[in-house]
Amino acid sequence: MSAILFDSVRVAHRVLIELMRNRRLLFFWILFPTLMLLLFGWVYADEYGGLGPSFTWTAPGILLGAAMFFSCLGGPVSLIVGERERRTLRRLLLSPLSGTAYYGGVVLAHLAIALGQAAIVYGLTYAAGGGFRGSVWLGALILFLSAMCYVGLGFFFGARFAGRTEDVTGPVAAVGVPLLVMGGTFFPVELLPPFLHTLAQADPIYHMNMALKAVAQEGADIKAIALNLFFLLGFAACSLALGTRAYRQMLGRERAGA
Amino acid sequence: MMIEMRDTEKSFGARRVLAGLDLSVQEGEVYGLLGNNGAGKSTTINILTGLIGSDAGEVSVAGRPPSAEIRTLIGVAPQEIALYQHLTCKENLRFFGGIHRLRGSTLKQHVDRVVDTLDLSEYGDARVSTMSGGWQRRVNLAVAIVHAPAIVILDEPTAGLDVQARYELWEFVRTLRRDGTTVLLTTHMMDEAESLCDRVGILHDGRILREGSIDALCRVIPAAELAEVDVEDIALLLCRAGALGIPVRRYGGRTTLLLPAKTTLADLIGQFEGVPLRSVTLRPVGIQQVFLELTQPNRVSEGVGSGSCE
Repeated sequence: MSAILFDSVRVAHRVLIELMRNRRLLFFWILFPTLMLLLFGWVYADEYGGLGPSFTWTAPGILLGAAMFFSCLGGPVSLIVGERERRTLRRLLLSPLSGTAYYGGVVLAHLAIALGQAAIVYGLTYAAGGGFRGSVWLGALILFLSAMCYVGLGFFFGARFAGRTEDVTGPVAAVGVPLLVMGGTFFPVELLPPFLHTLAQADPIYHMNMALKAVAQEGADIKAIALNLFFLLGFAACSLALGTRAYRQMLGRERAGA
Repeated sequence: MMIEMRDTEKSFGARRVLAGLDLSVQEGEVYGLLGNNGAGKSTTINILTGLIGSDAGEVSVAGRPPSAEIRTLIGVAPQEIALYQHLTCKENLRFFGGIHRLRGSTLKQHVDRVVDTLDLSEYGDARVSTMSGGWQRRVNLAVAIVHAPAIVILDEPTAGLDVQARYELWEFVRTLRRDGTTVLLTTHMMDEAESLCDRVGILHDGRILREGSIDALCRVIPAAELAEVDVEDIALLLCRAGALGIPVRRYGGRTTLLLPAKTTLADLIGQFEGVPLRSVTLRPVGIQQVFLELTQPNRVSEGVGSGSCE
């Protein structure tokens, strides 16, 4: 168990160092949520009575949708495809590193990235006069579950569909962007027609947004968002199981074809 | 025995890749696995490292069946450069050393040692992406040996290297042998096998056709010396060779005479007087001829004897 944990930390460390060195990617991962927060903050400033309250209202959706969607879902997809293309996946397979430890390392790394992005988004929100009204621990739990949902799906897409880097964008955009729109990332879900609003109940991003907005804006407690948390817990378990299965199948294919 | 495979079979669907492979590599030996593309070299490595299982037969590495655990005993240098380009040379070594169960000061010692051994100190803190292909290949090799494995598997290690880099790598393999490391080298470069290997196994269609030392294998060829000839009239050459009792082999347009005794160029040309030879090169029997003799027997053209060869 300690070997798995140690190896997971080592993998996470490596992923984060590589990210820090990949300045262009890092820059865009910071720029994108920053621009989105500023843009939507200004769009809703009049409606919410100033930039501060508008940022408070907008920040959860931007963090979960614009920031973590691309880092925690797109990140694992690119990572797996990159490992395959650089042949390092084969090298890892030839080492004593277990698949569980690798998976754990990628999850850890993306949790760290999500925390960094949360710091940026809420740093800007506080700077604009907005804030986070509820329990920070509850907010962290929502972030954790959201990251789990995304990473599991990222593993699934990366292992299942993305053979080359060019193949990454297609499946992520085709599935992910509609989920973002339906999940109320960029505008209130109340604007959706009734049938789409009903459909949105099955969208994990909807539950991420609802839960974090309730905690951040209204200071909701765990009971108030229990339904969202249960959904996210279930979805995280399913997506991790799906991701694990796809990852194992991919390793099987890599072993046979290596 | 460090590596032992007995009657090993492996198929992928209807394609039989290993067909009763027998292979044994002794401790401290440099063993060359010679084979064309598709002969089964990669599948053999994958089975030895426990990546895939065999369908039949017995396999043992350091006396144990292949598994994830024995991977700490094995270092594999893949043919392609497989490194994290954004990490430095030492960061790659630390990462791969770490996942091979090295920790703390031991890891540091191993990294320093391998940096010294492969003369990488100048590039220790350089990112791999900034290094030339030759230096990247050196790091690729360093990663394979950072955990001081008892068995090193080098998968076509000199493919794509320039001459100087090849010779440096050869020297490194000799260092490994001096240190008592068992080396399994897959290659299709015959001079590499001749220069480095204590024993060679010729792998073809999923089984070892013949194995032994270079000298022992060369005795497969019924010749004391070879003459490579370029000739205008091949029929005339075959006829004269047949009359002289000299076997002829033709592979891919190259014609080789298997000379039963050592001779001089002048004597040989004299024997073939009247046959329009464009060039003749005498050379000793080597592993390349053995390889061709064993793997392409249908390309053998024995000389046809005749009373008059006009």
